[in-house]
Amino acid sequence: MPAKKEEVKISVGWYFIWIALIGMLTLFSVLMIWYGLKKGNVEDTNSLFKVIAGVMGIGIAVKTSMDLVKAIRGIKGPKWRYMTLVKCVKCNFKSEREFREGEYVGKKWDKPCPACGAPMIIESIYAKPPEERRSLV
Amino acid sequence: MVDFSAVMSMLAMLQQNTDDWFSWMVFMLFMVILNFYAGKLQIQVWMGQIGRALDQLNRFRLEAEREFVETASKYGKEKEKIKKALERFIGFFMMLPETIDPAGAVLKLDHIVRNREDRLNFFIKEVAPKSDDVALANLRDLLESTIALDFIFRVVRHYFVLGKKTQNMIYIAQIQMLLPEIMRMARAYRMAAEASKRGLPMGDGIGPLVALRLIGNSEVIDFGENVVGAELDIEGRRVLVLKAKGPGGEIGRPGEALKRIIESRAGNVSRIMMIDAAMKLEGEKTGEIAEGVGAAIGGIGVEKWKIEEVATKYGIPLDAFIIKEDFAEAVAAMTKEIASTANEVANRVREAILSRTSEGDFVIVVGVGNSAGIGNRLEVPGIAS
Repeated sequence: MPAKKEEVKISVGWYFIWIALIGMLTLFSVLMIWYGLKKGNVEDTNSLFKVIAGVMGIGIAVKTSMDLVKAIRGIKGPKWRYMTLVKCVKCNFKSEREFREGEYVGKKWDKPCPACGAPMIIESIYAKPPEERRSLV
Repeated sequence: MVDFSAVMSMLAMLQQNTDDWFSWMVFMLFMVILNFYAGKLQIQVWMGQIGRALDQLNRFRLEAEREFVETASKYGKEKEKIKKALERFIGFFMMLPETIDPAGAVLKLDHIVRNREDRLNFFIKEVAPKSDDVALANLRDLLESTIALDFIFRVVRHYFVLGKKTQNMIYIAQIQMLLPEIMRMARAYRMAAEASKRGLPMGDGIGPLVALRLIGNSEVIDFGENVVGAELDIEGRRVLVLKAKGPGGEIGRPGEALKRIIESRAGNVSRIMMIDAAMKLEGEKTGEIAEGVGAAIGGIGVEKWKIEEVATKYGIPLDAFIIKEDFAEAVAAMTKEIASTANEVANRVREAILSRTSEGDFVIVVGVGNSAGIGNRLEVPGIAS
């Protein structure tokens, strides 16, 4: 089955075309705005038309860039963290740490409680979503 | 359709005193091209979107396959042999029984479901001969996610190729419109594969987690059919709490186990209480708890049928506690939001037992769901259930 011999790959060509088109559109829009404002007479309909077209072009370029960023983020996928919450059976002391393979809820923790020395159990295991990033997108 | 006269008059107003005929020609040409080829352009945009989704789906399935091979290779067989075996097995399917004559359809379905599980177990034993019960169950879950991802990829590719061949807008439009939902499902299965590989609890495991909270460190009994349970005393009520055998990814056959237990007691059971994860509606909060009546159990329907049959036969009331999640949350690793509801659900079940039954009554509580990453009891002595 030839399909099985495929390697994990992403077609990057499309993204290059996308970036090139955004670049061209931005350049064209900036030029339009520049030509529109060059005369210094915005009341002239031709100049006004060019400025409006330039602003619209920049708007489209921004929207397309946002779509591109979203698409790239979609490929990478969010990185979840898996955590284990251990709890002391005596004093209810709780501690959260990274999950390790072989752990399960109800299993006795290999170390005693740091607060009172009593045994600890795995209270729950859960996935933590990736940290929210501040972004314009 | 583009209204040419309106556009032209508007532009004529903007272009007063302009004799730039070349710009006009370019503009007219552009409008004509757009008028005739707008549909084609739309198809190309959609095909691009489907193509990129297909790339991602391909990556998901290949990653899942690679993870299966790597995980299985820890249990006694070379990677190459496992890879070849997986290539042969990846298209595994289950034919549903014929229902033209509906009598006995559930029994036929039960037979086929058992058949399927046996075949999956047999395959795992073949590629991972040294795997124990826990590893086998987790590998089986990982294999099921891999098969699901492969199937999703094949379906999307089918429409993509069909659309490309025919340039038919309907083929392309229907898959493009379903793409967000398809990708959501695919991401969920990808995360499920990750959870199965590591042996993490899944969102669907909230039922067994609540059962574990109730069981505490009581001694558990194996009821067969991958179901375990413990008998508790809650203020004079005898409460039998059942769950799928953990910590491997088993769902067990709670219907069959329940049927046997009730039959062995000649129907002398006051109530059956079931706890399960259930689909939430968009807008509802994940982890919301709701109470109702009926057999709270998903799946293909066989286990539900068995529970309903035996409950109806002996007139046993069925109480249901559901914890709301969406599909992705149910099949992927359990989130903190869901895990943190376990104690509250356990308290609600206790309250329901106390308010709806009397001292001396026998109650069965079933925590329905996948027991991956969830033990059968707390392994530390001295914890009250």
